[in-house]
Amino acid sequence: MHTTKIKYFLILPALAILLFLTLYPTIFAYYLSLHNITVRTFQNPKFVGIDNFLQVASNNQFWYSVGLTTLYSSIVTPIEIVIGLFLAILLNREMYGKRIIITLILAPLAIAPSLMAIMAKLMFNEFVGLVPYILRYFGTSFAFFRDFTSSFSILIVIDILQWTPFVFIIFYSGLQALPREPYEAALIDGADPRRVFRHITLPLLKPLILLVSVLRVMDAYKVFEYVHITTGGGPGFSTTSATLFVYRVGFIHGNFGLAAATTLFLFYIAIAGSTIGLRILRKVRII
Amino acid sequence: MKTNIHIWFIIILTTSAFLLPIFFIILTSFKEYGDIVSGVMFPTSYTLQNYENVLYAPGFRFIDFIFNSIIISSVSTFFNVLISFPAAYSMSRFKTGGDTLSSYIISLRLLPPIIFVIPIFMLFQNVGLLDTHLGLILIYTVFNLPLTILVLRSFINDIPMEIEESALIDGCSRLRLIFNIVLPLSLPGIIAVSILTFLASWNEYLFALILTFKKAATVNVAASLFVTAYAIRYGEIAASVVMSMIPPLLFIFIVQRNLVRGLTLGALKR
Repeated sequence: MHTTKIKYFLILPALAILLFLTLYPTIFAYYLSLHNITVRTFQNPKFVGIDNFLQVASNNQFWYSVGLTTLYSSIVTPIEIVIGLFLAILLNREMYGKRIIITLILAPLAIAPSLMAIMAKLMFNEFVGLVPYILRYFGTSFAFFRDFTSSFSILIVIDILQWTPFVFIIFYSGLQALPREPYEAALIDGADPRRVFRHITLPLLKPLILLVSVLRVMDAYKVFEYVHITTGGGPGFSTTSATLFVYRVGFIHGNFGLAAATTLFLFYIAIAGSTIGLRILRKVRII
Repeated sequence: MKTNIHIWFIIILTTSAFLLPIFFIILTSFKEYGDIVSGVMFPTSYTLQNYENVLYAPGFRFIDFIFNSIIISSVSTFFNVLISFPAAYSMSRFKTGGDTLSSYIISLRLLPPIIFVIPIFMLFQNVGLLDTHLGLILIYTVFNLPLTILVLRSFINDIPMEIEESALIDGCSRLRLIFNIVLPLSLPGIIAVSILTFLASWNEYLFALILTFKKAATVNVAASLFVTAYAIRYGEIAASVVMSMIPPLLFIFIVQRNLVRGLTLGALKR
């Protein structure tokens, strides 16, 4: 076969599948969102125009969940970057037993987010949990999951426990690959470690910091498991993330038309996010 | 720089913070019911009763869910590699699609999956793929494609062109070249990618929750069903969590060296 032909032949299956994955659901989501389709009216959907879109746009709970998710990802990302970078710098030296420690740090990455959520639910459980146990030991007690602050904080703690290892391993590999010369020069000049970090390490790591930020913000935006399992979006509606909101509308209330319209709103928000993300990545030549 | 005691202290402290939930859940899974509800952290006796209860729970065949997870994850991993390897080769060697295609693929990796869930649910309902192994296999094959293509492309980029050029001069056809020369050379990459896909499929929750109910439910969904079905049977919940996380934990030790590429869309080598 000719080269030009073969390069398309090789990529065709993957491309066809990916195009189907994006085009079909998008078109179908538009169709659904223009109709009144619920579990009951499933067989004969009724055309309702942009009714669903108007409902979503004027739904305070939807905008609340989008805002909450944004808040969530803008809290967890910087914390994870700081802890991850700190750990990576600490481990970026000759030390005994480093391989084992790194393997142990990576363990949370292998665990399903849903299982992490179950563990957190048990950890903070009033009766059997470790955290209330420790609090009891110090003579105090606190009922978790009863108010917004503690529920939201627990979600953030789970995210940090699970995803800081991810940030760590990227920074650690980045540090290992850094050139030695600037450091040797700084050592000869007698620069103090803090200045070396600020003026050498940080600028060299900048592309990676941006890559990690893009990946973490976008992934934190998808948060579902933690919320669904630990707080269920509660108390009340207070910790419902954007994904959980769609899940509720579609699969708890059974309103597929409205859920599809919500999905399309989220789609535009996510497209905006990933376009900015892609631009950042391109600027620092990661992709 | 010499490692001093402070650094050790901080490292051990943070590492244990990451491992604390895992340690706690393993400990809980071996506790007796009385010890769990009375809030004792380190009980005097340990038991396998919780595991037994999970595995032999009436009307709730946990073993079946483990098999579901194994079948769905491994079959989708196989198809995923089968489709992504030629695509990655084409993108690496011929720059097929150029920047546009790679941006498109990266943005697919960034988009939240909930966007696709509603239409896919309706489609599956119409064609009868709900609660089937095949349904989830299709979904996982497709949704892991962006990641696998990007990572495999990065691996193939690292294979020197000269080998292929000399083979082509010797009259080797392109297809034979790919299967007899490039494929064996990218085997480490394929193994790494397979494990990453396997992990991602094993750990996926949203699609598994929505597209399966009972027959084809994966072990993670089953474990979370335990939370609702057996609200206060903490020992059983812990045991089911421990059983679901053993395979992924074992895998991460094997894949550790190549993990970074998978996590950074192939942007960073290790």
